[in-house]
Amino acid sequence: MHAEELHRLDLDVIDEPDEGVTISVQGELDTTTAPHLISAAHDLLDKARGSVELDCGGVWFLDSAGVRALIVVRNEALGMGMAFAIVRASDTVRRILDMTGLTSILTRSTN
Amino acid sequence: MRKRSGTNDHADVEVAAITRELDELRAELEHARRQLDVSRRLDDLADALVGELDPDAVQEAAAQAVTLDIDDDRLATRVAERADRALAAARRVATQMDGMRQLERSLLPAALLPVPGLQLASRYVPAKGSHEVGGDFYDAVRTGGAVTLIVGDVQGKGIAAATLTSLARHTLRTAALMGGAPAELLTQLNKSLLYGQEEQMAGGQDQLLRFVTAAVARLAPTSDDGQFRVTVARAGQPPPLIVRSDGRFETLEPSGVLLGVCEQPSFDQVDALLEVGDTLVLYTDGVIEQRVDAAKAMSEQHLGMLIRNRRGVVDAEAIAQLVEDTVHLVAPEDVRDDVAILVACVTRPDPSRG
Repeated sequence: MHAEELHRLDLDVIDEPDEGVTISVQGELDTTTAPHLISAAHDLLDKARGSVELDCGGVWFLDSAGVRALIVVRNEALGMGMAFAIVRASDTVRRILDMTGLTSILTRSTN
Repeated sequence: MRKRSGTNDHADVEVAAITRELDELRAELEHARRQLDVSRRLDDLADALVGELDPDAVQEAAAQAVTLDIDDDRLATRVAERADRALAAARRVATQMDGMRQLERSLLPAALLPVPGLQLASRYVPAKGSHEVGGDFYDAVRTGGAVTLIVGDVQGKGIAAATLTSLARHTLRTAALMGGAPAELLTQLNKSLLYGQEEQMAGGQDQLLRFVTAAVARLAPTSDDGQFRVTVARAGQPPPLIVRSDGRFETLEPSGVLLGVCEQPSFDQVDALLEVGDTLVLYTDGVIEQRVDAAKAMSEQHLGMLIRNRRGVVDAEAIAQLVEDTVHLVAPEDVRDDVAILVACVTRPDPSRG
């Protein structure tokens, strides 16, 4: 088995002091890796200002725990008075956001 | 190694000695082979103990281990001990799983009550290799001559998810019994979930967010000719399917957001007319949890073909079975999540009814 590969998630943070923070999410966002995104975003939100953006262009697997993580980060950002948006989505992410009706809530289009 | 004498006089003695030595070697090899076999089976047993926790596999490995012909006392003792532990673990797991399955069954209706003019069938396919309670549910709620069909899924697994599953099912059921339209059922459950979240936050448990997805279809008879009008709303579930009596396929795709996230969600409703011989299929998930686009496979590849091959035959049980088979086909080794299936076939109206 390639269990290590199956549960990999890479997070890169681009912090632009005036613009806010962009988290680039790559790999699998699932039950195993979702807590990493939640805690990483939580730590960033304490320091960041303005907006939080997630670049999910490199997410090739997303399960319900991953969807939950996106919502948790969004709720925390909004709760702190910051804007939130997923600015880029892979086909997988887009398909699941469409299926779950979350596209308009989590992406910039209508937020 | 044995030294050869090299003289013919001693040849017979020599041959006898070599034969003896070969026999001894053979016996030693046989012994070594048995030990290796024992150690291999011990490995299997250990794997079964720490790995899958499949009670059957553990029991099998333990049973094999205790029947081994072992002439090493220390090894025999170890095997016996491990086999004992394995059997105890297998029994423990079996008991737990039994409890889980009971809880899981309590989340589903004990039976689908008959609805005149419809044939109903359901399936619940547990995730492979999972020992936790699944969060999926289905329900059929009869009101007058109409019926509201519900499938849904609570994010997560285990007891905490199961309690929410129970809440979701009964909230939807109550709203259906009160005559609510599909979109109203979803709105009601969304309110209930947000209310629960507010309570949790007030109690300092702000990380417990769990969302619920659901699809609701209300089937109401239109007249005496057997037709039903179906009204569908959905919240983050795959679109319900209509399979026409001639095998054509349609999906009902009203927009709607999953439940427990938005303060002011809006749920569209889509209507369709079901004729005698038409079938409505509702199924959960398979989309979010699996690594393949199950909805696509479900509607276009396997299921479509399978159902087209059954053209003209109205048999809800058979179609439910086809859907279940399709789930296995789509994700034979990777069914990460449970799948709930609900099927309604429109049958010829009963002439004995006024």
